[in-house]
Amino acid sequence: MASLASDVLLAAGGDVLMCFFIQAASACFVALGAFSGSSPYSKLGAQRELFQMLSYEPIFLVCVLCMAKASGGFDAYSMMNAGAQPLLYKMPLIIPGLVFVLLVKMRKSPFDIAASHHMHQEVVRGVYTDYAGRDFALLEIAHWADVVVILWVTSFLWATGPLQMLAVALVALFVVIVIDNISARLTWRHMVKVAAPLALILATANLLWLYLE
Amino acid sequence: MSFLKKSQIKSPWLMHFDCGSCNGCDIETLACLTPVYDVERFGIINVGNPRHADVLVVTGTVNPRNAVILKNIYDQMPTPKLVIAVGACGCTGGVFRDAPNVLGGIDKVIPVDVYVPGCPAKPEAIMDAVVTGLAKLKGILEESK
Repeated sequence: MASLASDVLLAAGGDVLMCFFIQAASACFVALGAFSGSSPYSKLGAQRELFQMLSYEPIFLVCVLCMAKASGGFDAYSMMNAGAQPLLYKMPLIIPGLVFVLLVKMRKSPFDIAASHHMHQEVVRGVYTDYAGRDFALLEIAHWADVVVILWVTSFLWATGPLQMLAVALVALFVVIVIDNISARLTWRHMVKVAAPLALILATANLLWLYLE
Repeated sequence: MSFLKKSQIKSPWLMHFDCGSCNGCDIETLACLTPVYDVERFGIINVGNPRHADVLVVTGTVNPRNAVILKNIYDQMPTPKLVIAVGACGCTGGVFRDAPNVLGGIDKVIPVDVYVPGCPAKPEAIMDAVVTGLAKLKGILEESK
């Protein structure tokens, strides 16, 4: 529900920061549910989900802050009407961060650490292991709602029109699928120590540049 | 039929359990996932968790040791569920039916919906069994509303 709510919030031109917090809450609830399950795989998956959140949430927050600074407001409409010049020119350094966030949220390699699409993983289905039946079906739908949120926020980078935004989202989706197909799963240690700090440093540098400009 | 019930038939997730097979039927079952047959294009996913599975595909004979595990996996699956017995051993015990440690086909332990004959069963026959099973699942879902 929280994931769908953040979708609706974006569609209504609401506060992107609020949308970010709502999707973070929905990710927390999934981990919380997995912790209360009895399977060790579920608990391990939940731990890894928390590590993933620790990695991607700050980067996503900095990306949203960059967009808000450049467009002059936190609401989705002001980001979508940021003017003739697309936001991308002002924030090229947040691209690796956004791709990282997309890879983690879409549960694609190399960051499908908490749960993978396939059965051949060391933690079976990780954070999803103890969910079953209709609840699990709803979680799958919520996952796609989450993906829509992140792709939507990514499409603000070139928000000169609805078609351009759709094109940006499709390009981002394509990039993620290509990376998924050419890479193997990393460990959570590598994600927390190397990948996430690098993406965060780049995004923060972009934010500082926007403030000093 | 409601949207959820309709989608349940469109995308069955199946779990494969090797119940003491010679691996002949297992190789044929996994061949369904290779690019030659590629059942994933129909939304069929081979899952490793019984709690996510709609269909249980079992190969091989049942003996007293793995009968407990087979029953356990079956009980962990959410209803409505389908069971497909693959190969001569899964259906009846096959050539091993008179062995002292063999109980027989898997229907000695759990109810079976579709039987796939063959030694080993062909991938086409296994896919056909899933489709036949889904027609049965549709009937069960329609009755349950």
